[in-house]
Amino acid sequence: MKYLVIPRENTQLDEYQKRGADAFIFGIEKYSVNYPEVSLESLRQLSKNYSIWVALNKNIRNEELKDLETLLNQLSSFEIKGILFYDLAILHMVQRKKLKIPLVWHQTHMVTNYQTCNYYFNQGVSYGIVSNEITLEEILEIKKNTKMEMMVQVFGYPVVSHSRRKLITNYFKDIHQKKTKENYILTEKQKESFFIKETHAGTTILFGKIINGANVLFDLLENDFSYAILDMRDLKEEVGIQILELYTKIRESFSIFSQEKKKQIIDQTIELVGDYTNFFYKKTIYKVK
Amino acid sequence: MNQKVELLSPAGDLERLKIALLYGADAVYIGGKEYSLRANATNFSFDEIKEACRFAHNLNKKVYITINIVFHNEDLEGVYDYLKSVYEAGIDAFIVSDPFIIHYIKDTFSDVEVHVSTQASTTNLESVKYWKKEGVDRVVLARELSISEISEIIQETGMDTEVFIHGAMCTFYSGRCTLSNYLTNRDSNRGGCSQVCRFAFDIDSENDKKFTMATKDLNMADYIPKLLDIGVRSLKIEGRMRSHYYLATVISSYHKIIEAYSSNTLTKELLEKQKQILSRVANRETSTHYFTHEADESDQYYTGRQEMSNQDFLAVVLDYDKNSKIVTISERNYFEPGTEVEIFTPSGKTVSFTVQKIYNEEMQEIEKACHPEEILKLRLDEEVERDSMMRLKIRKD
Repeated sequence: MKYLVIPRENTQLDEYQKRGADAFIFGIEKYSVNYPEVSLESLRQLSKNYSIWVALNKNIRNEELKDLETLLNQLSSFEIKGILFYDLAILHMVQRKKLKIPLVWHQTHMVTNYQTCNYYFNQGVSYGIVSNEITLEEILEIKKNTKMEMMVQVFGYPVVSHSRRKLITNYFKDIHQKKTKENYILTEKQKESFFIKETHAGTTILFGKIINGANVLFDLLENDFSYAILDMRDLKEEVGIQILELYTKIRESFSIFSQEKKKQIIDQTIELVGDYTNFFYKKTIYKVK
Repeated sequence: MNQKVELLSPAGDLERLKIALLYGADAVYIGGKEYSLRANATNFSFDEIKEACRFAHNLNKKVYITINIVFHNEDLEGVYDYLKSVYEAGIDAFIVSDPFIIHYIKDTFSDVEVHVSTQASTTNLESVKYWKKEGVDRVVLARELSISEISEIIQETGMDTEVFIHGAMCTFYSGRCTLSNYLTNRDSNRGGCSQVCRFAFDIDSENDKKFTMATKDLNMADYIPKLLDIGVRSLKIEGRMRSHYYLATVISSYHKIIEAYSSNTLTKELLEKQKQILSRVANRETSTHYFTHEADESDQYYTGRQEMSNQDFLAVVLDYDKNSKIVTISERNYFEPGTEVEIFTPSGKTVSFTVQKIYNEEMQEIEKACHPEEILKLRLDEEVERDSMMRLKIRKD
């Protein structure tokens, strides 16, 4: 299984690579939501030296389509591993122009069942990033029932929501105060916290707890998953490095770990970032009796 | 404006469906007992769907069903049987967001349409072309689009498009919000949304004002002519959980605006009157949002919500006796002799009068109407239809 790392900056790649990162995900200026953005030229250079996946995951507007088509043409000549897309405009352009770029279905909260994975696989989409809101059991069932190669976020803050609205700017305008930073923390009745961030694409909210999927890694490895995603952006670099080292140990030796050793290494990750496992073992409900 | 535009209403149950169609909706969208994004609404059984279709088709109107959840594996079992049963009940279109069922519907049922839900957040013409290639008949466009973007999509793709014109708005892109999952464990993309975007949050800044991100409602009354001119095929009202009175009022007002514009009789007075009626039935402030401008602080409730409980709705008409000129009503809100009221009817008539005497079911005079759902009688010279609504008289001020 390969580890796809989302770094904060492109200067961190060597350190992460030394600790077991196989590839990195970057966004591109103006076309990404919640990924570290680089210029096209930087991306060209990066793709020569590292395995790079590119996230073009914003909702596209008519006025951006012409530039998007040019961008896709350019990217098709780069040595990138693939494009993560949200908007179906990208899928349609790649199909229409018969571009040879591997595609990753990355409709953040919608990759939730194997039938839809199969649908997009038949549209020529080779990979999919499963939604963070489904259980491990559901993820394993998807894997069993699709030829699409599934990617799972096993580490980092999960994305919760995305709006085109500038929610922070609007809030401060309304109270006639100046926004003093780009990111804030929202807390609801002292219960749960969220990070709220504003960029060119609007506002993104992330949950305030780090997913630590060390335990889940064992299941993914045993079931031959090809890719796990580790989002290191909002962490201190040294914590990210330690986590990656531990996750790499799991990858290298999971099949020979005793139960005691397994517990020991999971506990080490918990000491660093806590034991939050998101929805891996918790099912959501939707009908209220 | 080449084709007649469709006014599309929500309906949470059979009774509201009938009200919507009687008051001028050309089509209604409903949820069945499964796979609908309003999982906690009453929703329709198969028998009710059949009855809904029979009622609508007799009026030469249509019924669309929402199959617009984002499916999990466990939801897949039985979905094809469900689609078949719904189809056999006589519906005219499926509104879907998960694309795996599109091909099944198109391959299996030849005479039913597939509409892509706004949940798919279709924001540009290239994505619309994708859906067209997939055999989709209509796209419900994302609520983040401007009128000029919508116009460009229609011109470039020729696709049948539907846009929301009235009702509540999401703060986030449809399908791109799971606040509800994280805070209440309720799955927003499967109909469990607990509207966390309307909660108040503490923010780590130096002021003590709560952070809220709730949006004002949408109201596009002023821009109906423009939407008709650019060729929007269907104008959609939000709110499958809204009341009978709300639906009757909103549908009736938009129906009047559309009819007047289509027959070149739309006046400023008529438009203002309908806007006034719409503003009275709303419980939140409204805006045109992205249709006319990049959404900003004026489109949100940042300093406290001002939701009003509307007391205008006084009664529903159950019967009118031509001989005795007595109208029988079911009371909803307080009124008394001397109250100035108006009754608006499904056929578009409005009858204004001052309440003189109020009688109970036994024709005994009572002092006031103050028991919701009590059957009461009033004298009224002008005939009004069953299912008409009585409200406080709306004045020009």
